Amino acid sequence: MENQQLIFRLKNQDQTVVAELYDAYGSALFGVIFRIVHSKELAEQALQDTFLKVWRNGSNYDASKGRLFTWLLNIARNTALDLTRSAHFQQNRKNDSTDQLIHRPETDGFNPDHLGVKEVVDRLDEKYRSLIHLVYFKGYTQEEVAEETGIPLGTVKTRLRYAISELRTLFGESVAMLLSILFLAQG
Amino acid sequence: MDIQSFIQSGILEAYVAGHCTDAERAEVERLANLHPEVRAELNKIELALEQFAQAQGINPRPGIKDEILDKLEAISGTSQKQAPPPASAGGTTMLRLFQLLSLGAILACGYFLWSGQKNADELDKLRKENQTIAQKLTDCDTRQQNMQQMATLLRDTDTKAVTVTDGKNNHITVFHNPLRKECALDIAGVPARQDGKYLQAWAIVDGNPVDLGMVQMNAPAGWQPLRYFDRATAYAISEEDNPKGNAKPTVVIAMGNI
Repeated sequence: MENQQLIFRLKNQDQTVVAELYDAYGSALFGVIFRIVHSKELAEQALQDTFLKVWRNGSNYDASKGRLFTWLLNIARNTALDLTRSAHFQQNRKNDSTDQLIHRPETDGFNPDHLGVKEVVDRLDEKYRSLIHLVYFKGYTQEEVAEETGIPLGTVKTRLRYAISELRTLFGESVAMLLSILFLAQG
Repeated sequence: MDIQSFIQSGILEAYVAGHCTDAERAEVERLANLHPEVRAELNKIELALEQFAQAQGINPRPGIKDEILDKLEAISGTSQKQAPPPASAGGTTMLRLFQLLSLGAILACGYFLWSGQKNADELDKLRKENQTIAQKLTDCDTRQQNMQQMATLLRDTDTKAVTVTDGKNNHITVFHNPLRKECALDIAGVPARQDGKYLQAWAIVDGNPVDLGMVQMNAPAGWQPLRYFDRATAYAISEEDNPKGNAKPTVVIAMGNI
């Protein structure tokens, strides 16, 4: 989905690009936002704000500094985190512990388009999955994770690197398997 | 500096998460520009996270998309009247220049009004000049962005050069990057078309030609970004009578497997 034309249009505030970005990344960003705010209503509000910010600030996206999704993710995460600091959120906040927030069962609303890759992700050890969630989707620094979990900072850094590496391997295996199936089907 | 140690230090993971200090961020960006392996590693980390986020995605309520688009329409209707779209980060200098030129034009307009001299023609001329300069700056900006983006694509070690050829003298290059999910056509290799004929680009996906749009001989900086398809196995160029192209290629003049 990510391509130069899409980026050109984003940078030139082409309105039609928002619909395409939403189709491509809406569910991924909503998943991240929902896991931060834990409320459908607030998550919808944050998702709307996210796409409006994306359109307003499209000219700031610099492809040489990272992928489009990483930029979108930063906007979505910061929007959701800002919302959690609002008075409205504080009033309605449930007393979830960090542990509950990380390990909350996620069975409803999973994007059926991604069920195949979900199985791939399920193969990743829970402790690595939680770590990725904390650092990349919830904005914890590695130091904050160490403090929160009592795990030494060096271990956090090693585990995070391993988690990403493992993820890459798992997705790589998934693609290789798909190609094998296609090859066998054609043969 | 030992680049492998740098890659394995965990700083790239922190950079992608946005947790680096300004100095660390500058260092990562400097080394990513110097060393393709650093750039490739960053891209792989980001891609893994993107796939992870997609896998963990949750579908929002169906009506949300329309609500966003409605809001956008309402906002853009007013904001476009109030202020021009912001210039890109890369065009800050150009924006300043444009602002100075605009200020100069406005002051000149004020002088003509104040002095009571015949100024309608002058004003009109200044406005047109202003518009021309603004257009040139926009073109420059687009060209600069295009060159930067192409440089990034070409620097990436995962980018593959696909030669689309007629088997004779014409060799057109399409740069294809499955990790970035990007591809671009190098206009420099495209042969001059005959009068009344137009060139159309195609990807071969699942054995079928998929329209990638008309070849734009005047694409900024000589590069034309093309729509990327994961399952594309080849690229092709066809010659068409219709300036807007056709649903199926009429005469394929060049082809190349990925």
